[in-house]
Amino acid sequence: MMAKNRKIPGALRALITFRTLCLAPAVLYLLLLFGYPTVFNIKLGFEQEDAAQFILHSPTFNGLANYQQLIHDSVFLHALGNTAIFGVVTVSLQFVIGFGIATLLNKTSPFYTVIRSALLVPWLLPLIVTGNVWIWMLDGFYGVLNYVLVNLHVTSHYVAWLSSPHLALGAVIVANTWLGIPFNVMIISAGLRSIPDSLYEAAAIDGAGSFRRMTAITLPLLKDVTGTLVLLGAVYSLKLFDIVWVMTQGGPANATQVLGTLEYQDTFTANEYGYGAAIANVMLVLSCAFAVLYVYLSRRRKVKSQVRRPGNARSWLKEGTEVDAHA
Amino acid sequence: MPKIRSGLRSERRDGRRFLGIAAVAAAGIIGLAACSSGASSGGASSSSGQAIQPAVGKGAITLTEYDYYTSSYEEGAIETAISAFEKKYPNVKIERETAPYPAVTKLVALESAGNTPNIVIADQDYLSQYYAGLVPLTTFFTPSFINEYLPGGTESATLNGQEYGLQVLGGNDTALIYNKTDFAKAGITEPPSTWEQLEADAAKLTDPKENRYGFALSGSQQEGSTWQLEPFVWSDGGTLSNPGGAPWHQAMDLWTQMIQAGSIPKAVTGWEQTDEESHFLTGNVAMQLNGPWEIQQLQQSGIQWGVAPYPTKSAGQTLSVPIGGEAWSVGRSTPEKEAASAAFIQFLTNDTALNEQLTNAMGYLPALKSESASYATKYPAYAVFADEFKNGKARVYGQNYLKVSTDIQVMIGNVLSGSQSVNQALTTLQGQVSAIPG
Repeated sequence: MMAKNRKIPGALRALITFRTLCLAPAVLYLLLLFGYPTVFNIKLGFEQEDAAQFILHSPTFNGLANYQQLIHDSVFLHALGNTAIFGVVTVSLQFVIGFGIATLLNKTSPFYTVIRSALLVPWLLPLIVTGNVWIWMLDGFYGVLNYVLVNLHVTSHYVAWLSSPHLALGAVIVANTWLGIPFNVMIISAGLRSIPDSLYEAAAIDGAGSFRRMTAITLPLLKDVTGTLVLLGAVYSLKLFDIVWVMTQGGPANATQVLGTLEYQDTFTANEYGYGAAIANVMLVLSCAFAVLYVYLSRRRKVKSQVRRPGNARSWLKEGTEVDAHA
Repeated sequence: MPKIRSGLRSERRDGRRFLGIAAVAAAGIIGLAACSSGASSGGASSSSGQAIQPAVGKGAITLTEYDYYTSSYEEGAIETAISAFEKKYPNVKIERETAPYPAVTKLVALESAGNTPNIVIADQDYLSQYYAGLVPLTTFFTPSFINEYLPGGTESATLNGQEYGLQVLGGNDTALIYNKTDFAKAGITEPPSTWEQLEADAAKLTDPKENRYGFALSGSQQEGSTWQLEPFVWSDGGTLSNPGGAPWHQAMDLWTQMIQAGSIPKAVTGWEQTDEESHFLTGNVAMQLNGPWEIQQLQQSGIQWGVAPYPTKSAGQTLSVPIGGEAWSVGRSTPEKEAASAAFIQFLTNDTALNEQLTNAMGYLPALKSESASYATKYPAYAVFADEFKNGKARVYGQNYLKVSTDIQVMIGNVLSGSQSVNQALTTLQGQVSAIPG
């Protein structure tokens, strides 16, 4: 094996050079449009800069002061908590409801295909449109939700859903969940369709009920899909801005503030660029942590599944693991 | 048991090579980021403290003007002003640039790039954010010229002892706008002049079954909420630096009592002044706090409306109302353009007939002392607003008014929504305000 490798380097080197040339435009784009702003933002997180300083190009370096202030800022901690709540509630509800709808519509007839496609429409609408529609539905004077609830005698008077700190958070979570259900349905449907019917038939013959079939066959085989959806949902919740900003702007009184809206407010309304950058850096670190966790978990699963494969040792040695000759 | 490492050896080598490239790239970016900021000087070369005469030189001059006027009557007024000036000085061309209110982000970006507009018309509340690209007006005008304007507006545009803007086409304030028909139906003959009357009248005018409320105010997290609280607090003797004092407690107690009694809709924690107006026009609220810019809409609405000054806590207290509007400033540029911009301001100040006509077209109250004296009699619809404006007060807190105002807005939201008691909220606010230098 060692002899083979000595012959490869020359050819490999040539391949890498050509590959580098092909990658160069994409890498350049990433460096300029993501790399530079990210590094600049990291630097800005260590500075204090308000609008006047920005105009005069004279930020003041203040070390970790922004981050120290963040830790003691009750609004930031509240926003962090809200983001976590949004993430957990939205992702789980979306998955459960999406799974239910996908299972219901998991039949291969054109009718069901049309319904599954029609379900995508809410997800395709721009968030500004969705947000405004929800604002009007929840309006304290003219909202359709209030009208229905009062006429069904569920509530006695009109409720200002988006003006109460306790209700506003729930309302925005509902809107956010509603948004993401179609996407979940789509991905889970694809996952469901990839599970062969023979497995279900075999389990049915063995006497497994429908609940047992779901827990023993469907959910385990959907692990990859679930993992992807959870990661996407988590990252989306971290970045959450549009729907909250359109519906409540983080109010009333910071009740629905999330990291994205707080960062926007501190940077562009209060013009505290350094502080806003610090919040953005926290979001960046959290997103990276999720991404790293996801890659680590999926790679561990890949290796595990390779190691567990039956067959002779040589076949999985060839496939991608290396034995230390000195062990 | 042999040690197992995943990945082809060549893959790991590629991985290390990639890391090497990434490290070099990152170092390059860091170097670029470090070099780009910090060293460069900002803005175009500015005139030093020497006096410049407002004058329009010979030769073609193009000036840029920046404002956020988007409604038809405001735009009509500003464009008439520009045409009048261009007619007097045919070699001058003024190019107008607009952005949606409050338009500060774009202005800051322009100033930072060295492209400060020559004539800046912006909300002086935000002056602490955009003053760095402006030239103090004392460079062009004598103190007696500046003194032709009412002190409230001039003080609102003063920062670090420097005067940066004048309210050339006037400013605005707020007052109590009420629905005369609703008042007649409820048997109320006069608008309330004290807090007690306000509370009683609002309760009489409320009918939750009909979705009708007696009183509305702005309670969402924006400046409109603070500036509606200020008359209540200031008239009772309170100040921005002492939110723990009795006037604040009493003002917030009034609002809390009214909202708990149901006279103020709970939805106000999400309302701005435009929401108050829209609900007033649909008949859902009988009294609202709003400004003279609404008069044109009110006149076209078919509603019998009236205006009254803010009620004070007890009869006979002096009403103190905050001033709003825009300050006209001169941006840093070449001395010639700065002089021409100053000439524009001077032209509109000296031509009092045009000034008054345009101020009225904007729906504003005149800031020129000479006009302000007779405005109430000439335009009765604006009388209450004009009288309040004469004694209007500037909203200042050193350089940090906006920070203080944000804390006040959060306090208002917490109290009106019931998530904090008045005592809790004001104690927190006192702590926050004490930490802000003023």
